[in-house]
Amino acid sequence: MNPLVPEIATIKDIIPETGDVKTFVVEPDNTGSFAYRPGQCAMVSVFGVGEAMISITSTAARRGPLEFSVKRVGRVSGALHEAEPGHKVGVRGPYGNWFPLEDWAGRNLLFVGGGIGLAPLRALINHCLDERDRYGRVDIVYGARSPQDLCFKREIMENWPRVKDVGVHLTVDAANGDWQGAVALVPHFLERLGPSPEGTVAVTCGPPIMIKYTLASLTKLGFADDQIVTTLELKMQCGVGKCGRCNIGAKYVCLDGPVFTYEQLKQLPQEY
Amino acid sequence: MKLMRAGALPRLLETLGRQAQVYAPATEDGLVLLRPWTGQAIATSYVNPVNSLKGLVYPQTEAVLEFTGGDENLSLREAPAPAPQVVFGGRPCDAAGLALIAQVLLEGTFVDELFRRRREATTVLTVACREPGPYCFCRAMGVSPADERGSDVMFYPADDGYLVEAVTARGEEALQAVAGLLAPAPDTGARDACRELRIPLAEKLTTDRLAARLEGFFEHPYWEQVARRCRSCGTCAYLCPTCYCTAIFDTSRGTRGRRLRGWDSCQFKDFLLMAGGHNPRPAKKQRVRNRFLHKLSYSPANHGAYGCVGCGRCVEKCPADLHMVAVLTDLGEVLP
Amino acid sequence: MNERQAKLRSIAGSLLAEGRVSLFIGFGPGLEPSRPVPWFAKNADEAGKLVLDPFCGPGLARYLLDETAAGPAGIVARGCDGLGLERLVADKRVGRDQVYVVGVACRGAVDPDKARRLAGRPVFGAEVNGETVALTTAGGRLSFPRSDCLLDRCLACADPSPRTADTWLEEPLPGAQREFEGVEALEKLGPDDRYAFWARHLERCLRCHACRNACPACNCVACSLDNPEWLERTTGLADHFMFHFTRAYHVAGRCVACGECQRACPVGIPLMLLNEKFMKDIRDLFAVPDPHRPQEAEPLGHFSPDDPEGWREGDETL
Repeated sequence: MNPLVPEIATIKDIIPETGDVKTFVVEPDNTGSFAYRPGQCAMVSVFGVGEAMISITSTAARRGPLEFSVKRVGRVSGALHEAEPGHKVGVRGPYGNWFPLEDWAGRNLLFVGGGIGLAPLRALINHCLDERDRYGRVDIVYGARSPQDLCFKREIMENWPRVKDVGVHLTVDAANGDWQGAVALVPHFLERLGPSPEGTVAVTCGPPIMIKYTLASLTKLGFADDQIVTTLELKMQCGVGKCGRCNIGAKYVCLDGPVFTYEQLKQLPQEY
Repeated sequence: MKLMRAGALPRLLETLGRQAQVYAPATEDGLVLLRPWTGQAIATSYVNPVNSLKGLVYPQTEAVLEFTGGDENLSLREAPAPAPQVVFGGRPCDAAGLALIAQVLLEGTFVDELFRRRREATTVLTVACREPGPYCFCRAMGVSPADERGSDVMFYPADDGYLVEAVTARGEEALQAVAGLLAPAPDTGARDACRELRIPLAEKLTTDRLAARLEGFFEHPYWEQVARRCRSCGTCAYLCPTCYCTAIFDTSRGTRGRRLRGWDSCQFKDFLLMAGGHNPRPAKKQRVRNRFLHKLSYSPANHGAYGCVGCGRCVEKCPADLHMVAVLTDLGEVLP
Repeated sequence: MNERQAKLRSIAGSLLAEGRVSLFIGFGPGLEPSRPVPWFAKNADEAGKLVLDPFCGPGLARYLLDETAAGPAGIVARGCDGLGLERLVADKRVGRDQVYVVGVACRGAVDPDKARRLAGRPVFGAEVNGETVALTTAGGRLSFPRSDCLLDRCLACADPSPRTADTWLEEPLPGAQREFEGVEALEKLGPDDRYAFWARHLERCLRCHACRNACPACNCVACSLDNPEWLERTTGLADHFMFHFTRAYHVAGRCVACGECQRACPVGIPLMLLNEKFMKDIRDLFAVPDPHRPQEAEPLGHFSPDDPEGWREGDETL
């Protein structure tokens, strides 16, 4: 079987998240879905335009169709944003490693997301909240450029805060309208919140610059490198470790990542 | 081991060509290239053809699939299986390069199906080297002028022909088809001469413990200095018999289209540019460093071999003379 | 021994020591004497390794695009480098005040591959004397006709020295009028033969972009040839025609005839013939005697209100 050949899938639903983010509910036509774990990605294609590696934002344990939350930034994401329910796309995957959930039983979880970076974390957060009793306290720190740019509004405003011992802390870079919440960049906001590193795993995802400063903030808060987990995005073409593109030193993000601990990242060249 | 007279070569290719497309070295505008063979003169005075074996087994572009239909009804067709081919006249370094690409593409969690099919459809008839070219440095990279890796049949140039020896079962089969052209070999002299051939340029280079010595060298100012002359073109990567980086892209007209996979180069400035503008290697320094560390450090770490077979094409053709021999020479001075 | 080289080292060393340039672009020692490499001296020490001899081949002008960002750069300029710099300045990609030009009188660069082939052995030195080139080998000095030894681009050269310099290493040589013999020969062929000629050559194209990335006229910040909306990434003969013809049109009237594209091409495509065809047509159609030299009113890049054709306002074909 040629791993580069996708399966045809149908867009079942399109949920607008923000002005430039939509969530696509996608069902592979033959298999219905495939097994995947939180943190893994899939190659989504619009035929005639191309493919893009996109993190799977649905949670496999919930047994629904695949969901991809996509920000409109380039050719493929632009074509997806033009698509309508019923349109065909291609899907292949899952690719990459996943969050090491098995090591996290009994620990507190701190999720730090920025913008569309909440997409891979959403798969993980929902997975963890579905097995809430396995973990200690859960805190979700999430920021976006403006209140309108916050994704998954229903989950961050309604669903997640209702779960026992879950704190959702929202911030925006710049307030507008009737925003009453915090106004701060995610790393600053995080430092102000001052979560304890004691028995806690921190998981962060966002734009490269946010990840960089968040890693520094977490270190400042006393988190050890092996307590910090992040998920990276690099340009990928094949997703299967053959096209030679997404390397950071001798590691490939599509095979050895996208999930890395800060400890692992520090062993790699700072080129991502 | 058998002996074949030089004059029998066209008959050999003709016979093998009944079942397969044959490629052989041809002279064109003063260059020697591996070209489809249709009976034309076979070039013999060359060190390495301009194009390596790579392009025949791992084409510059090839179809992954075809798609037809519109947004709501779409069907895919996988690219058809490649036709059998016989390639005569590549050198041992190129064949070793193929073996290295095979390691990358065929080993691990996933198998590159396109490469696997074409590799299995290809019979590689390698001509070993009796004379080094001015820019050959195979031995420095652990490859010999009589290296058998990646070859199906070895042809060792002898006085009036070749000593011929099958390396693989596929090679054995090919030789059986042309058994009438082969006579028992009087001795192994021609093979021994290739095996013992000295490669002067390689003797000037040190590759001992290179991967270990490169540890901690990532941030060295050397990379910035050497990268200045790089022009960020793809000459080195596209001529290289081991560079395997590719891009995947679509092309379409109306309701029909193809998804293709084709060569790319980590030296192009947009190689890692993502939609949205983030580029982890925007500077020449970073891209040049990645090229050489990939071959000298990452490839040994991941595949146990240097990502270079010392064919000398980048040495001869880089328009700014930024090539493996230059870097190895510099590293010999700069590295601890 | 090599007085020119010693003088260049001294000039470049002083420029760097006095802080008048932050970098000096020239040639330095390569793998072998016949292959000096582009060299970027940052201090007097590195300037002391500058090489200047008939093997200095690669075009240098385009490096100014990258190397003038951090401060003024010095450059040793032959005629081709000088015209390349003029191109970059005319296109407002490099400030003339950011470059300190040391002009030389170039008598042509020896092609290292041709020299080795002719001599049949490694070549250690070369001297261009009028119509002959003397090559130094381990077996003594061998003499060959200039036309067999020099880089293709140097054979048609009409610009041994830059038109302006900030200082001269030696007395500049005057420019001549460029001839287009290769184009004239090609024009005599019928359409089928011309097509066959280009098909044969372009079929070899690797699309490595060595030509584009060597060209001082291809100085756009973003190149349409990198954009799949303009040129697909497929690599069939039709795509190669598209690539090279598009490039030739884009540099038409702007090509400085430095020939670096052809020198850089790893598969020997005679790219200058395309550029020269445009030059010859511009010369003949627009009565521009030296179409490869940047000029005030560029024939294809300039509009004047009293253009004989006027501004075709209301023209429906526009």
